[in-house]
Amino acid sequence: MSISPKNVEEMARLARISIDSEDIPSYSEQLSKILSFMNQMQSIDTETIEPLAHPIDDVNPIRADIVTEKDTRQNAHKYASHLLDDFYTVPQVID
Amino acid sequence: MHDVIFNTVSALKEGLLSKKYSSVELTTEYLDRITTIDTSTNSFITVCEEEALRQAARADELIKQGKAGILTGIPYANKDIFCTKNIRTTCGSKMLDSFIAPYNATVVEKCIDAGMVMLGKTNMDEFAMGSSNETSFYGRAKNPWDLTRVSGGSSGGSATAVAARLVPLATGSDTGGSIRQPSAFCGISGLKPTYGRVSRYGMIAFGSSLDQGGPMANCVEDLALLLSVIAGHDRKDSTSNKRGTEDFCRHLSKSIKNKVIGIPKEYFSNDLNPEIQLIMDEAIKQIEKLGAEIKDVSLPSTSLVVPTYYVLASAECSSNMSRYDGVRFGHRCKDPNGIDDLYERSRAEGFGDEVKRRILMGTYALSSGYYDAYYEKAQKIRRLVKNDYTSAFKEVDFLIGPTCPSIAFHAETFTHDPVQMYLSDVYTVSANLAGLPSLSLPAGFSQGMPVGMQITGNYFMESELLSLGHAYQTSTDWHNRYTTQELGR
Repeated sequence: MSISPKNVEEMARLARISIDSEDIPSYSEQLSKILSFMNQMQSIDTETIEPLAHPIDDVNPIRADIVTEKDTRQNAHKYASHLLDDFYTVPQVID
Repeated sequence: MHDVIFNTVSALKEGLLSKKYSSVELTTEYLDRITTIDTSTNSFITVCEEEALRQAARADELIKQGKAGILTGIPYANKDIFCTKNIRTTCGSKMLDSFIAPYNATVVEKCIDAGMVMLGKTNMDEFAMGSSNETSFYGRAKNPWDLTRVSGGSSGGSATAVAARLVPLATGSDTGGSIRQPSAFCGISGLKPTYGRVSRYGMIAFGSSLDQGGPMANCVEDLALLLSVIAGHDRKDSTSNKRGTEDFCRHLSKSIKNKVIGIPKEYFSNDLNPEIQLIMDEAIKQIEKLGAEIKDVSLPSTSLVVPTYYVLASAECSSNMSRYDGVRFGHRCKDPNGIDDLYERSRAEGFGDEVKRRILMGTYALSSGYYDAYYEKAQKIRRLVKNDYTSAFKEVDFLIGPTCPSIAFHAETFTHDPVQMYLSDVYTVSANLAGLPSLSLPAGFSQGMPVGMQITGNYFMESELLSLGHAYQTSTDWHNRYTTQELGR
């Protein structure tokens, strides 16, 4: 099994990362090597094993939904490069 | 005054309390050392001199008032993965080159509350993805024992800073060995605590079910001090454990007599480098002399831990990295042609090669049609890895083996071969998969380079782990060695 140049383009689209077309063959080669390494996992039968998503058995402790800090919007806005009034701006989305 | 850099943190504290020197003087000594020496090691991404001197003056005031805590006035550094208010946090990436967090990570906040003095933010692999510090946007941190060799990673800058005595204590984070492997490569001590022991709030996420912050220092006793400050339950982190913190120094001198030490046979196969094998044999003999019992055990899933880890870490990375979109903070490309172009180009320009590789790999492992074969399969093997440890800890108290399969390698050795680089994590990743506490400490030298021993314990057994490490360091002096290389200008 390998990751074809077409797979690389598809993953790059899903992950929203532009990749120069001249770099696609080398991504395909490197990712295929990584994938064949990952395929070592297929060497054992795990049919009856339950997946483990989280190492510790405790459930997530959830706190009450109470505001603990006052409005931090202005503080957060300081780090955006493009703002209009109180809003983040992006290129036009709707024609 | 110059000799203070070879003191333990307890001795530095004694110097502060007995007014031998002030925190401002101590801080100035370390800052001067950074100015001279860091030209060689590239340990720091940001040095915050003014802020450090302000914190030191405040600490001196607290000491004068008799309000000093266990680390008041002691200088330290934070890995640049911990968010710091008003001081930039880059995570080693161009993406966050100009990012200033609006809040402090809980770890940082706890150090401030303890009256500690932050000298700066240390170098690291980009978003903690790497085992050599070579993926840092700011150039690699260099190993003080041999500058042509890597520091290890991803907490490479913290390791080189502590090893070069630019700072007595540093924080690190460990997703698959990122505290322990650089500690081993640079001849220092480092602890990855149990998952959930140290808050992840404000520690930039890479693999959320694997990431854990922890202390790095020149000896185990110093690790215990810093861990006592940074550990504890945090309401701001829903994966933070409710156990709270404890005084990790209290049982440090406890005898290790009759403790049972497991030696996983898979870690000592014929492939193990013979010099590292010899060093480990010596270290194990030493621990036996201290009264511990040695027993052979097996961790049958060992051969599968690296591929399993890289599937899970890449999958979690691809999800965590999606927040960098060029809109709210971080790098934004110039003149985007539409919203997709804004996302795609900002991310292409902001991320380095290894981060992109992992995002693509993780996207593949999570995508429809491949999810069962990769992501779910890896989660099932993760269960087996955890079961291996559960069985082993029924028979033994600790597991001991080498931290890494080799000494620090030369720079650019694995630049074009990611899989070989990944394999250097073979002994460290399983503690992250299982969420267990694991310690690395210096155990000898091979070709003039430090070799690390790894001790893994059961959940929340940090105190016992540290007391074993301390007993070993009380009877050996590997941790007191200092590089003979000429460093700095």
